[in-house]
Amino acid sequence: MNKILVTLENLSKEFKLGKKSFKAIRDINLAIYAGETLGLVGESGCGKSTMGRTLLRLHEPTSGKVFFDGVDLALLNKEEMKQMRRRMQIVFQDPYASLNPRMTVQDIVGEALDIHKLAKGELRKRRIEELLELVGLNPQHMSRFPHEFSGGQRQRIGIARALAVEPEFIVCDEPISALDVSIQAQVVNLLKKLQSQMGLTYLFIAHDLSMIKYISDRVAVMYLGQLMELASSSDLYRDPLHPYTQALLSSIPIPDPIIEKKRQRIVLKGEVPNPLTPPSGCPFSGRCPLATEKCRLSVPIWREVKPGHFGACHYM
Amino acid sequence: MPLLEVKNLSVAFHTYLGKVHAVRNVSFCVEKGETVALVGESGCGKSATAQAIMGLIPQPPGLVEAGEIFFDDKELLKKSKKELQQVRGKEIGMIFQDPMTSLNPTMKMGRQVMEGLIKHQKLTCTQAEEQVIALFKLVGISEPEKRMWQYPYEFSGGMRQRAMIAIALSCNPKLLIADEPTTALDVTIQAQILELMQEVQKKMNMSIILITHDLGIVAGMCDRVIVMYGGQIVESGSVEQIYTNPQHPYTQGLLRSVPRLDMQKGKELIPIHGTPPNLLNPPAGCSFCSRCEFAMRICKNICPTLENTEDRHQVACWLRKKDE
Amino acid sequence: MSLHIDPELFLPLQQDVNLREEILRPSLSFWQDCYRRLCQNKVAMGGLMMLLLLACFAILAPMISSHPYYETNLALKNQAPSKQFWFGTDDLGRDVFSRTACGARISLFVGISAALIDLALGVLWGGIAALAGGRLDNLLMRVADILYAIPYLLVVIMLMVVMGSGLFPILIALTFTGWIGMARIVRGQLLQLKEQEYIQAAIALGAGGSRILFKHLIPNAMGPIIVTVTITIPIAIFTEAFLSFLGLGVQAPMASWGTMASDGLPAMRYYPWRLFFPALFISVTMLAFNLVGDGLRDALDPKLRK
Repeated sequence: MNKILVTLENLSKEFKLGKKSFKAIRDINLAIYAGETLGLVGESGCGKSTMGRTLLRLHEPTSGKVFFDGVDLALLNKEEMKQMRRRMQIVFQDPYASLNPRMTVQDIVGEALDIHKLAKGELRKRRIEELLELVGLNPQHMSRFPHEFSGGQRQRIGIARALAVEPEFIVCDEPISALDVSIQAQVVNLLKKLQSQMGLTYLFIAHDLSMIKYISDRVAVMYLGQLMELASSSDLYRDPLHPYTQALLSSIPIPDPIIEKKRQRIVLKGEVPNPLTPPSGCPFSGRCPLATEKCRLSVPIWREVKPGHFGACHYM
Repeated sequence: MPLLEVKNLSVAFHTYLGKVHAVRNVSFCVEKGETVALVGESGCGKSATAQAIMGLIPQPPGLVEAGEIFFDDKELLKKSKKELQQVRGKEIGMIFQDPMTSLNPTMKMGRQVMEGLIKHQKLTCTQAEEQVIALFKLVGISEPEKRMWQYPYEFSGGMRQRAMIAIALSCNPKLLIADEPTTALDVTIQAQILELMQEVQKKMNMSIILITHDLGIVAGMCDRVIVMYGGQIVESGSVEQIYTNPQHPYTQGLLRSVPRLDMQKGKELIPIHGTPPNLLNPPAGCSFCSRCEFAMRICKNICPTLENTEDRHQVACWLRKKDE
Repeated sequence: MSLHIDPELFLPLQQDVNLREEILRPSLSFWQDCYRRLCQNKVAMGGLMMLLLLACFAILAPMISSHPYYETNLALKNQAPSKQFWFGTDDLGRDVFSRTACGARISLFVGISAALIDLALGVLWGGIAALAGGRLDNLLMRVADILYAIPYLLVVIMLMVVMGSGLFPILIALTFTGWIGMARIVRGQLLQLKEQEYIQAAIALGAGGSRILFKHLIPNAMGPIIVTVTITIPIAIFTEAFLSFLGLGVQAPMASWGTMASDGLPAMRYYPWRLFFPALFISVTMLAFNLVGDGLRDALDPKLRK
C-alpha cells in the first residue's frame, strides 16, 4: 500500500454573497495515495473545483485541515508555503483563460523557473525546450503567444508550466472539458504518460464519467458540496451503492446504438437544488427515488461500507 | 420525397485574415419523422450548415456562396426575408446551445413563447396564454401558470432549455433543428431533456436534426448519422452502420478516441493526432489527409467524393478505390 | 462511370508528423496586432496626423518666426492677419502666430504632464486598493470619493491663493483630483483581472504580490489605462485654458491659449482673429486627442478582434 500524500480532514469552505453565505464544500474527509489518480466527479455546483482549489490553498478553508505529506498547510508561513507550492500544482479547465495573453510561451513556462530560481540563461532556455518537447509541442514555437495555438496545444502549455517546478501532485481541474473530442484523448494520454514517467499523483476533476473511469484508480462522487461515494474505479462502476451514483451512471450515454436502445435509464426528477438553500438532511433527499422521512431529517454519516468502499447514505 | 434536401451548399465568412470556407459543397436529406445527427468537432461546419437552413447566416461577414435548400418543396435560399420569416418558427423550429443567451432576459417567459403563436398562428392573447400553459405542461415545466410570468433568470438551466423547446415547438414545426441542446447541461438533466425530445417527436411526428459532438447521445437518439470534417461530409449512414462498420478513417479515429462507460480497464484510447484544418486555405485534397494514418498521394491532391458502399451508407475516401 | 486513375497515386504518402502541429500565421504580439488595427482606422490616423502637425507647430514655429512672442510694438497693434503677421497682432502689437505657438507648447506640456501624474497616482492608489481588497480598499476609495466631492473651483481658488498663479500651481490644481478617475478605472480593471485563471495559476506557482501586479495585472490592464490617459490630455488642456481664461493661469509675457482667449474676448467684434486662433487651436487639439483616444479604445479591445 502506498503512503498517503494528501489528507483532507473535515474540510469546509464557505463563500459570502452579500449577507448570505453558502457552503461550497462541507466536511470533506479524503485521503489521496501517492502515485494514484483519484477521480472526482459531480455535476455543476457540487463543489469539486472549489475542493481542488481549497486543497492547494488558492482559497483559504473556512474550517478543517489539509495535510500534504504529513504537513498541515495552515501552519506554514509565507516562505514555507512558497516552497510547498513546488510540490503541488494545478492545470485549469479553460485553455483560453489560464494563460496570460501578453506573455510568450517561453515566459509562461519559464515563470515557474524564475520564481523558484531554478535555472537561468542558457540552462533556463534548455529546460523550457525540454518541457515543451515533453508535452509534445515544437520548441521552436516558444516565442509565440497563446492566442496562436489551438485549445489542445494551449492545454499542453499549461501542463508544461505545471511540470516546470517538478511537482509530486497535480490537481487537474476539468482539463479536457473545453477541448474537442478527438483532442481530449491526446491530452489524457499525455497526462497518463507523464504520470508513469514522473511518478505523479493526480486529483482528476471532471464531469465526464466515461473519461474518469478511463483514467482513475479510485473515484469520488460529490453532490452539493458533500461526498456521496468513494471506491476503486472498477468497484464503483460495477457495483455503485449510492442512489445518486446509480442515477448518474445510468444517465451517461454509451456510443453504441445496440446497447443504448436496450438500456433502462433512471431519470431523476427535478433540478439540482440551489446551493444557497440546501435541503435539510441528506443533500440528495430532494431527488432521490428511494428517499424516506429519515433522509430528510438527518445527514447520513460518511462511513466505510465495504473494504475500500465509502459512502454517505442511510440505505447503503 | 424527403422533407429537407440540401444540395451543394457552400458557406463562407469574411474575416480580417481572409475568407474562411466554413461549409464546402455539402449535400444531404432528411426524411419525415427521421432523426438525423450532424456530428463533428468545432470548426467542422455543422452549426453553419444549420444556420444556413434557417437563414440565420449574417450576410456580411457571412455569405452563402452556392447551393440549394429544398424544404417541403420550397427553395429556401431563393426566398425573401419576409417569406423566410413565415417558414422560420412555424415550420422549422430551432433550439440553441446556450439557453441563457438565446432568451430575452428582459421579457417574461410566457411572452416569449406567445410571440411566435400570435405571429404565426394568429391567436388572440387569451388563446395564446392557454397554448403556452399546455406547451409548458408538454415540456415538463411544473406550475406553468406561475412560471410563464417569470423571467429567464428565475429558471434553472434545464428549465430554460425546456422553455426553448416549448418555443421551438409552439407552432407544430415539421422540422426541429437542435444545435448542441444539452452541451451546457448537467448529465442528469441531459437525460431528462433527451427523453423529452424523443417523447415529443413521437407525438408530433417531427423530423429532428441533432447537431452535436457527443457520440453517446447520437447512439441513443438518432436514426441516421452524418459525419462532418473540415466543412465537408466525410461519411453518412444509419446509426448501426456508422457505429459497427465505420468506413472513413476520421469516423474510425473518433470512435476509438472516445472513452466508453463499458470499456475494459486497461484498454487504450487512441487519439487522432494533429489539429483540425485551417479553413482559410482549405487543402486541395481530402481535408483529413494531414491527420490520416492511411494517407496516400492522391489524398493530398484530389478531394474524394461521397459514394455509396452498402445500402445508403456513403463515404468520401480514396481507400475504397484503392482495391480497384 | 469508371475513371482511370494512375495506380501510382495510391501509394502511401510520406508525411512529416511534426508538420501536423504547424502554426501557419505569423507571430503577432498583442501590441503589434493593436498597431495594425489602429492603422486601419482612418479617423484615428487623421487625429494622429493633426497631433503630429500640432507638435511640429509647437516646436518649430517659434524658431522660424521672425517675431518672438514677447516682443511688443505698439505701432503695430491689432493688425489683421497679413504676410508679415500670419495670425495678426494683439493689442500690444505682439505676433499672434508666435504666441499661439507658445501657447501650444504650454498646453501640450500641461496636458501631458497632468495626464502622466494622474497615471502614476491613479495606478498606485487603484492598484493597492484592488490588490489589498477588504477594508484597505474601502478606506482608499472612500478617501478618493470625499476628495472628489469637494467643489473643484473652490480647491483651485484656494490653491491659487496659497501658491499664486503660474504654470506649476496650475499643474497642481489639475492633478489634485484628476487622478481619482484613473484610480477608479485601474481598480475596476484589476478587480476584473484578479479573477482570471492565469492569475490563479501564478499564485499556485508561488508568485508574490509584486510579481503578479507588475508582470500579470498591469500589462493586461494597459488597454483601458492608455485610453484614459489619451482622453485625460484634452480635458487637462481645456481645464488649463479655462483656468487661464479666468485669470488664474500663466502670467504675461507668457501666452497660453486661455489667456489669449481671455484677452481676445472683449475685442471679439473688432479684432476677431485674437480670439479665433487660440479658440481654433483648443478645439482642434481636443478633437484630435479624442479621435485618437477612440481609435485606441477600439484597437485595444480584445473583443473587437475579428
